[in-house]
Amino acid sequence: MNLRERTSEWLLGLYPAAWRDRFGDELRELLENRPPTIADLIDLLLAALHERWHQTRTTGEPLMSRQTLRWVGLLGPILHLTMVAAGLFLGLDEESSEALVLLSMTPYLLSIVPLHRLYEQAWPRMSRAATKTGAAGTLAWPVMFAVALALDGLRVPEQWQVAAMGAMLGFTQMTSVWLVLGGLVLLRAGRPAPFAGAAGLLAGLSWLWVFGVNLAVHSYAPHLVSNSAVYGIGLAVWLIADPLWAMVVAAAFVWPPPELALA
Amino acid sequence: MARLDSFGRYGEATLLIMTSLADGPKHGYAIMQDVEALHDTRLGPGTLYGAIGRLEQAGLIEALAGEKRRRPYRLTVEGRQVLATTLRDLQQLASTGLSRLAGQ
Repeated sequence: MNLRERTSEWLLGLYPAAWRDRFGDELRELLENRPPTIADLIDLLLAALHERWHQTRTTGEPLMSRQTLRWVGLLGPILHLTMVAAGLFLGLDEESSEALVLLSMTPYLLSIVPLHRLYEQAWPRMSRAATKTGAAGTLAWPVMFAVALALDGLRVPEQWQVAAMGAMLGFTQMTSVWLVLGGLVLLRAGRPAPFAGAAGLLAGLSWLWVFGVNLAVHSYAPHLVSNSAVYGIGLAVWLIADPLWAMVVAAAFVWPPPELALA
Repeated sequence: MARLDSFGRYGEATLLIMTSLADGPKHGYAIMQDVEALHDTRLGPGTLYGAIGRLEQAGLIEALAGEKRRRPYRLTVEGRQVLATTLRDLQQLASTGLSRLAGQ
């Protein structure tokens, strides 16, 4: 079996089980007759995600299996921490370092899907609001980041660039709200969730401060920023709380407390 | 009556698949080859079987008995009606568009 055949077999595993039972053999036969191109592999991936979403929408079945939930819950925060560490400590130039740290939020926020399951069990009334808030922040983050980069590349007037960065910061405050809500949800649950909850609250609140209020004021009303130590303290708290939060959330998915067993 | 534009992502693929099945039953790989010859469109494997699944669910095509790995599909009676209506609508749209272009 060559690499493409192995990849297509792995992609078939992404389809819902019922769909694989019905069409899996026919699809394998087709792929044996016509070895998949890169475009075919992308098509298989998109169609698998579409079928999963379709199944969740029409039958209410979970989007991910328990095992996938745990992998996403584990890998999202780890990838995030790796990118932050690379951005801060690898000695990259300033722009690459900033870009890496900013983009590191995307894998981190992937863990919103398994976290949604935790919310549902630990705090059902809040789960929808928390998940929608996090999803909106997650989507807005890379989009607004791309807009800000594009404006920078196009050499548009500086005030437009500042406006785009301001919009990005504004939108991503929803992410901070999600972190705070996630922290509150986990605080209510059993071990090791309370530690994750406390760390999440710290991370969310310091994130709100560092990338929200402080930078927005700095951009729009620099005369109001009288003490850069306030920014420094927020950043330091975030740098401590963020890895703690990521590690404990990952642990909560690998060894879930009994009261939060992922169904 | 079902409308092919209600199939969202698979809308265009469902029309091509049904058109391919208009002259008789075919299995997945044969449909794919036929569509490439008919319309110069390469259907991806995920799109092909996603669209076949939706058409089957909607009762517009049905699987015939056969090998599990090479199952042939054919249009149902409702499928033939839906395809005929869709193609007539497209024909009307195409002739209107062409006559407007010619009149300019």
